[in-house]
Amino acid sequence: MNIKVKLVGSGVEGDPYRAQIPTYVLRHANHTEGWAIVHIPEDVHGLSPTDLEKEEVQETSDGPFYPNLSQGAIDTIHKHWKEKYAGSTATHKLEKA
Amino acid sequence: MRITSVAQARAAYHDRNTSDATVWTQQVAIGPHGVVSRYTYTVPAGRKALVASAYARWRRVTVAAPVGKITLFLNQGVGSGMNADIHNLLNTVDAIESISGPGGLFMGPASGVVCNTGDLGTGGTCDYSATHFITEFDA
Repeated sequence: MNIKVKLVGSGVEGDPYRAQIPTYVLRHANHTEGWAIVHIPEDVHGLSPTDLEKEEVQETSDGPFYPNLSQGAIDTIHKHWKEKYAGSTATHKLEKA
Repeated sequence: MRITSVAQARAAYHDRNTSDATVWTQQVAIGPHGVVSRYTYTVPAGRKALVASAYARWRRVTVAAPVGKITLFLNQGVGSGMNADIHNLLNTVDAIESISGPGGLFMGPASGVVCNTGDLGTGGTCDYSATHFITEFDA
């Protein structure tokens, strides 16, 4: 799944621009506006095919892009991360941008 | 004759529901940019991961004026693990630096890897590529 999310960080060593997502690959980041398009593997976001069918999707060169994930989907992802990465002290947060 | 065998109550890691969790990036002719995380991977609860190997390669495509520090940073076992870094000020077309990260690192839940790049120069472009080959399995 490819989505557009908020970037955090100041772009220096020790505080890189980054998404607060446990596992992702960066597709494109806009440091000026503070957003990025990232790829999140299926087993990481935890949304089922049924969940994804309800969401707006656009076909892109990098696979499906979800431009406007619903709050319900975001809540499901956060719940999934809480279980899947229990014990992690890192901040895992998906914020749309 | 004495016959012995190694006590083994469970399957070896490679037979415990393994999955490929390799992460990689490849950027071609990228201009100056602040330090950014190109990829991250976090080991889920109840799982462990083996970083079989890691590799990073940087190449200068066009010169900068002036050149600034180039960074291509691999970290394994975030916070307390092993690093493989490329930091340089090379400013000759086709200058190349590559590095292999330490492999064979087993990581527990909540540990992980990250790859950052940065270019503090003005003008000029570079290629960056990096890969962490990761196998994930039941803890």
